Amino acid sequence: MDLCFKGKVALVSGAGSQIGFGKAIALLLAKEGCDTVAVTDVNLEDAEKTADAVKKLGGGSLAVRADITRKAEVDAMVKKVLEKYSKIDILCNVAGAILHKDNVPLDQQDGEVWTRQMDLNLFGTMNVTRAVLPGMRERKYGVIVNIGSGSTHQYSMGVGMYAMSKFAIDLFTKQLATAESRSGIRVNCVAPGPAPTNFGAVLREGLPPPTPEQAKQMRERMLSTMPLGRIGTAADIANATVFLASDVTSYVTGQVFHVSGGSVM
Amino acid sequence: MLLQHKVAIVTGAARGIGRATAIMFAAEGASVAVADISLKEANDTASEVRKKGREGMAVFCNATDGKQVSDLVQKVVANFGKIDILVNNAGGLPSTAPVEDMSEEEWDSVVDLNLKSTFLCCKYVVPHMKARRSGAIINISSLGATSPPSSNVHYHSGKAGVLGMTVDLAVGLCPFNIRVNAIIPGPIRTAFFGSRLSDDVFFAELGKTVPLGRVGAPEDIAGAALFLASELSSFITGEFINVTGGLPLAPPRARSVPAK
Repeated sequence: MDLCFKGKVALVSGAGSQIGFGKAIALLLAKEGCDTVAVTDVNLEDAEKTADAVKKLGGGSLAVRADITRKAEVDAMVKKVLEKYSKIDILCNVAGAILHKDNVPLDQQDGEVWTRQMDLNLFGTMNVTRAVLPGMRERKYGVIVNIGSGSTHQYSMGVGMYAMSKFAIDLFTKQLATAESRSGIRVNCVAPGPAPTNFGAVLREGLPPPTPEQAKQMRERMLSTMPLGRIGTAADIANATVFLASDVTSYVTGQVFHVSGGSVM
Repeated sequence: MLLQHKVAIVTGAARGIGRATAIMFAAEGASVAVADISLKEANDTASEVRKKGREGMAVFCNATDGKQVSDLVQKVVANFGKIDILVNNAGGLPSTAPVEDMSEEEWDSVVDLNLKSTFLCCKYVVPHMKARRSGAIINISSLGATSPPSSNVHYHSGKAGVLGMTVDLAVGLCPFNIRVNAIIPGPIRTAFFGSRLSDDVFFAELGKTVPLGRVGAPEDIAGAALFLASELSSFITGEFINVTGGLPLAPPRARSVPAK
């Protein structure tokens, strides 16, 4: 089916990780005919790898480095993309991370981490969106897809700032969708369930690597919580994101789409 | 082609959302059984399906009648050999009344039309999906189920029941790799609006009440159904997808009802 990406320019933030959602989204956009996919990341070398992969698919691409928590860097990043391609039609706010372990009791948590978590996942996303928005308004066309999280609906991992920051993304999605509904701009959110990204490495940081037996048990425990019998893939998330980025969903805005294998209903 | 070699049943496919869905599925490679109580129009939809180079079969079926649904499913399996996709779209709001004036008969008939019909189609299709350990069911609910613009207690209760059924069946059918999702349409220009269907001014005014500034088209719903029917959504089950142009502006509990 024609997803109407011909002539479109997309910006995917956080697309440097070679196993993450951002790269999968950037490549699927290019594969579905999006002319240009700008790739941004806090790590330029990683962003360049993804940009090269986009170019191999025949799409135009530009890698830009920015720390999304710094407004000046974000503004310069967006300016660079606009200078080269003159517009941004599609913004996928993928940049974000988990900065803490699960199940740490509240009284043992570090308030500094709370601030950094909100700074990155919420304020960073707002920084990028703020910089891209005026051009979309002017051209009366824009599609924004934020990445949320299934963790907003699961309370078994203790008190976690990550899930709180992602719940804020849900609300940001709905507020912005409503505020910009007459500007020709749609705003939606894809909320992934468990999937193999670099998040696992953060959660296991400082712990000895699991023995094969422990790894098997961890995998089985995880699978027992997944109604469809598997964990997600970057492709699952990219499919939903690219669907929402396309004009097939031109009557959909302000929605949070859970792609969770049934683990969030 | 997102639905190559797939077989779909679309109920209520004579007109509107069902028709657009059947035709879009065919364009993506599916053979489609077009079920409706209006056989003449169903035949027309089926012929549009065939124009896309796919097999299209019109079947007379009142989806509130178990025998007719059972016959429909048998016919489709006999003809196409399997069922991959079921779109429960048949439904409607033929009449309404304030709750105190609504007869039991009116309640029963509208709840049956919207809720029992969905149950019956699932009841008879699921065994064929279970046997092949694969399937996608898409239920068409209504924004009225979660955020009614005015009171139509039979219709909105039936459509809310469809959402409950969606989650229930999603849970129960996960082990069989059968996904069950719902679409919540906002205002869509279809025969649902009765005699106003051709009234451009009415739809222009109605569109102004929608955040995105327009009334939806049947193809808006068909596109979401296509996504949910295809492998693109193989990790999505038990979800409700709002295709509402941004309605409601606020969650139900925050609604402000203007004083009369």
